[in-house]
Amino acid sequence: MKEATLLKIALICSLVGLVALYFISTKIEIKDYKPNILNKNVGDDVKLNGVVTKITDSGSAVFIDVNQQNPVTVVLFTDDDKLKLHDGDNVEVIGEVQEYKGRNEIIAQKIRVTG
Amino acid sequence: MFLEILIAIVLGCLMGVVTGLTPGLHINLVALILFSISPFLLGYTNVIAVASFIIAMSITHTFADFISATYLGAPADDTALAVLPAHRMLLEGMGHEAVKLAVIGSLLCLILTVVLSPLLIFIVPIIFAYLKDYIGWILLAVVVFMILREENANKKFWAFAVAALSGILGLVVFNVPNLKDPLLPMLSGLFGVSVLLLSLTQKTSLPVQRTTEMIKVKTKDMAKALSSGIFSGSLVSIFPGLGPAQAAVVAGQVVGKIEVAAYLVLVGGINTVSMILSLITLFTIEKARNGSIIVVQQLLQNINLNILVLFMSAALVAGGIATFFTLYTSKVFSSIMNRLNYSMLSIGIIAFIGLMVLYFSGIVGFLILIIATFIGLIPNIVDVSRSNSMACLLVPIILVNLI
Repeated sequence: MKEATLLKIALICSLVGLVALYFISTKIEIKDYKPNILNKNVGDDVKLNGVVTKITDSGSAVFIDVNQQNPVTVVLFTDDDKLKLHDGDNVEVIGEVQEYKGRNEIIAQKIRVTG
Repeated sequence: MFLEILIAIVLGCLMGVVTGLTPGLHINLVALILFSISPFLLGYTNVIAVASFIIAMSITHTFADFISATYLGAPADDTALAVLPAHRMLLEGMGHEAVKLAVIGSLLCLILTVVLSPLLIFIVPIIFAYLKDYIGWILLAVVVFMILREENANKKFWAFAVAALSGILGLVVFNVPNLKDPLLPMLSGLFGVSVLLLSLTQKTSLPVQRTTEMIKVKTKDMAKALSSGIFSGSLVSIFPGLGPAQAAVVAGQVVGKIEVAAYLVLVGGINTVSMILSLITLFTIEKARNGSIIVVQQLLQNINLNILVLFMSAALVAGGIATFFTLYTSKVFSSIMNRLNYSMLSIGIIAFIGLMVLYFSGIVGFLILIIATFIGLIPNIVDVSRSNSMACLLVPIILVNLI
């Protein structure tokens, strides 16, 4: 196979990959969570931005109240004693919406302090 | 998201060229380092972009590592069997052709595997369930077949001796406590330093390296090479403990006699196929079969069909970019080779491998390098196939599966 042919195949391969990547990446956007729509997002992975208003550590889990339009409880399962979150921190939470005792809460996969 | 992933892919490709060119720097080591710093990275980007970086780096590594195997004679586990034919081509002034053939195998096998992936998603779990209890017997049959296919009784004896010595070396190496990176000294000795020493004793001088189109592979041999590459790469991704080196041995026996150029295409494709199919096995049977995919699994926990398609797309983009990078880098190496004294270069590479082994594996690793080098000299002296030395990797797996 000539090198020019190989490079053309490589170029086509990259272009096809780019097009597919563009379309599929729009489907994988993690949607912003709007907690005033009750029970609509259970089971979905969502992203939530807000301010920490209360942190309760029960040992194996930490319950974090995040204030957005409405307060949302974020549950973080961790054994880490050195959780560096404080009241008033702006956070971005990525997790799965679950229902517990009639209320939606987010089981956190990632929490990032944004300010 | 698209832009983040694209930047991650380009950076991953650049990193993959670095890891591919550096003998002894294994892709799994880099992936583990990335995982350890992932909390820091995730402060700036998302987990999909980090995973795309790892995949792009891994794919590019499978393209670029033939450069160090060809020009430096420094093999990794996936390029060990390619070193001798690639080195021969280098000594004929066709080092760049050797790299190009491996790149053809990597790119075409990548494309074919992605195209066949909807079928493979169904087939992989079935093959795994059917063959998992027999892999030890299959590999034992491969070792026996390699010995028996030598021309006469004397060569069969020496093939057995090489296989036995290599097998014992492999068993010892994998059971030495606290030995880091055991493959580096063993494979470097068996397939790297021994080949370079033979070149030195034959007072070989390197001819001018040409980058013109010289080799044409017959269509039939190309088809055999690509299909064997996909088959063998699949075995690597399905069965734990089966590496690309062992798969290359199996492929070599399955495909029968093909020209050297087609063989390089085959070996080039195996590791690339294995990387793509590892994504499929992660999706279908939730098992990760190489270090990079283990890290992806740790980052994402589970992958759905959309994420699998995204990673396949990222692999296609990375494969295209890797082709350009690898061919360009090979031409640079080719022009550098033309200005160097080959004997001094060989001595320098042997010294470099020795220092790498001392650094990564310590004094015990250096001793293993010396022993492996002596064993690696035997096939050339008695004129038997160097593939018999692959028993160093096959025998430990056979024993684990059968005992």
